[in-house]
Amino acid sequence: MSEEQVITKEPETETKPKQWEPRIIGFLCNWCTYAGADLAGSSRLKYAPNMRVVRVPCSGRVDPQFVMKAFERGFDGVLVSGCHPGDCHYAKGNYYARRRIMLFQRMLEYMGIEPERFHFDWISAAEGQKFAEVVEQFTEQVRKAGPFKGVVGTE
Amino acid sequence: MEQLLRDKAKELLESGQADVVIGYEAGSVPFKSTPLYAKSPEDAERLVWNPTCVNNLAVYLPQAAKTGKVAVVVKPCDGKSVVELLKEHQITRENVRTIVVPCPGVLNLDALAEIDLADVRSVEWTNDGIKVTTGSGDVSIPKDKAFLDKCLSCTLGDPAVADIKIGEQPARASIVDPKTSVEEYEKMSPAERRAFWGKHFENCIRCYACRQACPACYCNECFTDKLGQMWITRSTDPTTNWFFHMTRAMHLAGRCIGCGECERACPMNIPLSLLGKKLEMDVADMFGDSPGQDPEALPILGSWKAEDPDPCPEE
Repeated sequence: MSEEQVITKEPETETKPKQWEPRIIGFLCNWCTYAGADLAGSSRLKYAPNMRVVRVPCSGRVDPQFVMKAFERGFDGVLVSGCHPGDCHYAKGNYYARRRIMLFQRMLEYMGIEPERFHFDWISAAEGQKFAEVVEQFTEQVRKAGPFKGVVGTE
Repeated sequence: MEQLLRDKAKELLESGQADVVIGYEAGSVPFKSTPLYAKSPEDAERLVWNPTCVNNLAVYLPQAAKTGKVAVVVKPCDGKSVVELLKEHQITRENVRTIVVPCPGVLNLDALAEIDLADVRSVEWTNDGIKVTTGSGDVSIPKDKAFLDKCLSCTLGDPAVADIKIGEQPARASIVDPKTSVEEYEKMSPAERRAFWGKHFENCIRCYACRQACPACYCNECFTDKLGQMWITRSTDPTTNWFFHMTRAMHLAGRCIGCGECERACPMNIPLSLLGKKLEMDVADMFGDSPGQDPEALPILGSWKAEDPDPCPEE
């Protein structure tokens, strides 16, 4: 496409009504889920493109503050995923994560943040298919929940 | 009772078993008492024990026990804080002695709302509450009005670390189910909950009184003060205040023993104990554990079991 064509094409796309798309952030463990995402990609699996990935060394590295910050900044959904229990690269990081996440998940709900906006899953490096499904399902779930209105209400 | 406490403190100081006894002394007004560091037998004469002794003195231990031997006056609830500090290696057993006082419950200042505070002379325990002596006669206030919420649901006996006991703990029965406030709150819809906290966090001035009063908030550098990693802005608005209080709640998860000091210290009346209570309930529910029981145990979020509940159990 020549430069001219690009310039003439742009207004067309802009006049289309912009549809809201959920913004999702995913914290993926380097050893399992990130590799699982890689596998999904190299297997040419199709899934929703709404998630931005942050690679972390372990699900145990996921400080609840990461998730809070994402919500504070207005993300519509947050996904955290790591190795299955028993499969942690660091032997027990995901067991610590599990206790913390269980409490945190309930706490988010307690504070009035819809449980649909946060998802935690175990996805191994071999589960490319599961990764694609989880992201697809979670994106749809967040889409249904609608745009996030902020961590605290104003009325 | 008070004399017994003073004698015990004197004995500890004279024998060198303690370099300092942390207790309460009469405050500048008769309806408040204030923490006292008694370093000499003469200081120990100033110790008091009455319904106005509300502070959780365990908050001073990590600093005070660094350099010397400390004896600290604790109520059964405060004793749980001492257990947590031992568990987290913030104090050593050799340096800390607890003086456990029998506690019928401590004063909720709201109970004095209808009394002219300038007229108050003293506040004392009676069999079923407190007696406030004023210039114009005595006023009796029943338990359920006189004491803090935590006292109304208290069933504690002596804490796991009780070195010196000043008398026996009175028999206690919970008048109010500790879950009540959380269950009431949970009747709200998600939107209502967010509005509820929006309203409260609008008021929060982030004075950090909650953090300062909290015996579990002992970090040398709080995340709010860090300049390198700016997790949170210096300015306040409901959203960043939410971030602060949520972070604090998660930092206290499995460690908060529910002394309620955060809420009591809050100048804006934010119901912070709703957060701590919920965490305590969830920890008990999911991990079958509760903080402040055993100084030898591992911290609840610093340990795990293979059979812990799972957010996405394997089929």
